[in-house]
Amino acid sequence: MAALPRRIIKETQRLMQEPVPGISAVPDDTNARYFHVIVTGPEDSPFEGGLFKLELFLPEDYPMSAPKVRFITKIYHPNIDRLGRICLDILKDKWSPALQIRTVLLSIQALLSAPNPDDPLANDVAELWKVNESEAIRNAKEWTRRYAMDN
Amino acid sequence: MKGALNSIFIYSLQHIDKLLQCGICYEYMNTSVITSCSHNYCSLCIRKYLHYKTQCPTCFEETFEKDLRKNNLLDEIIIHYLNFKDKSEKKFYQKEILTVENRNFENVHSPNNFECKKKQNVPDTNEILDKNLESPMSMASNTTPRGQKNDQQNISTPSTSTELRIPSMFTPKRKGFQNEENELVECPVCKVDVPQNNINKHLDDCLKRENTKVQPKKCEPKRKPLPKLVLSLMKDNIIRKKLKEFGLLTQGDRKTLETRLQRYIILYNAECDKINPRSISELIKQCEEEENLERKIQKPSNVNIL
Repeated sequence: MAALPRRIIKETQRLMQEPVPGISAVPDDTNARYFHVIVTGPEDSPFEGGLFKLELFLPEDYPMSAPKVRFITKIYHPNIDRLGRICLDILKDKWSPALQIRTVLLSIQALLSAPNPDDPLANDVAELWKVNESEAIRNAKEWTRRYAMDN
Repeated sequence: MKGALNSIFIYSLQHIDKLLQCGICYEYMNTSVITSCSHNYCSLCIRKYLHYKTQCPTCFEETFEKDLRKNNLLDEIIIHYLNFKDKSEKKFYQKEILTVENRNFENVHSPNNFECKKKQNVPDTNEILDKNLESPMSMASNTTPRGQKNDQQNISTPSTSTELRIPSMFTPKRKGFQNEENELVECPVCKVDVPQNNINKHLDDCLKRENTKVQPKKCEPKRKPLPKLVLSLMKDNIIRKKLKEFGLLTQGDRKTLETRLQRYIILYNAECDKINPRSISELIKQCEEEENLERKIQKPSNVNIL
C-alpha cells in the first residue's frame, strides 16, 4: 500500500483526466496497482459494439517489467486464449519502461482491430482464421454478442 | 497579443518541463546520465533497468552500464529550471497555467515534485546564474495582465531596476559598449580584447575566476564504481562475504542475499555519478529501508494475477 511510486500516481491521474477514447481504466479501491479496464470493440471489427472487461496489474518492479493484463470477458480472437491471456510482444520481450499503461491499452485495442493469426495463442481460433476467415469472423461476432453485450 | 505570447511562453515551458523528466520514473532527472544513443535518464533508474535488459528504453539500442556518462550540464539546467519555477510558480505559473490547456501538465503543480530537489545534494545556487534567470522572469511579468504586475515584482530579487544586469564574468564581451577611443589589449588569461583602462580590473576578475574554477575539482573525492558481479555464479558464502565487506546484513535466503547485494551495487554506482556522493552509511541505510518496505508490500499485492 505504502510508497506507491510517483510514476504510477501520475499515470493514474492522467488516465482519469484524459481517458483514451474507447478505453476506461479505473484503479481498484483497495489496491492502486490493480486496474479495472473496459475496452470497447473497435469500429469495423467483429468486436464492434462489445464492451470487454480486462484486469491490469502493475507488478512490484513496474516500470522495469511490463504490466500484467488479461481479458475477463470471453473473446474469440487468435491472439487471446481461453483464460484471457494476451499474446502481445510489448507485454513480453518488447516491453520497455518508455511504454506505459496508456500505450499498452492502445495496443490491445489495436490488436482487436488487427488479429494476427500467424502468431497465435488460441490455436484453434487462429487455424480457422487462416482457413476460413469469414467463418472465424462470424464466430467472433457471435461471441461478442453473447459475452460482451448488455451484461 | 499578450495572451498569445503568454500561451507560447507557457507551452514552451511545458515542453521543457517534460524534457527534463526521466522517462523511467517520470520525475525530474536526479543525477542524469546520457547513453551512447543520446538519451538521458536518472543514473539510478537506468542502472536498475540495465539489469533487466541491456538496451536503451527509448530506442532499444544495446546499452551497457559502462556506456553511461554523467551529464552535469543537464543536472545544472534542472536545478536552475526548478529554481525558476519555484520562484515564479506562486504568482505567475499557477494562475495562468490552469487556464491554458491542461494537457500533460498535472504533474507540474503537485508540490511533491520539488522533493527531488531535496534529494539531490544541491550545492548553493550560483549567484551569477541566478541573476541571469531573471531575464525570463521579467519577460513573464511583461506579459501578465496589468493588475498582476506589482505582485510580480515582489517575487524577483529586491533590486528594483528592470535592466538586465550582466554579471562580471561577461564583461570581456561588452567591448562594444566601451569607449571606442580606448585601445584594446588582449587579456593574458582569457585571451579576450579589453580596453586598456579596464584591463587591470578585468585581470583581477579573470584571475579570481580561474582560482574558483580549479578549486572544486581538487577537493572532489573520486569514488570508483564497483565492478559488476555475476551473482548466479557466486556461492552463498562468497555473497555473504561480499555483503559483509560492504557493511550489509548477511541474513536471509539466497534470493534475499542476491537482491540485497545487487541493490547496493546499483545504488553505489549511481551515487558515483553525483558531484557530492552521500556517505556509505547513508547508502546502506537506504538499502535497508527499501528492503523492509518491499517485504511489507509483497504480502498483500501478490494476490491478484497469476
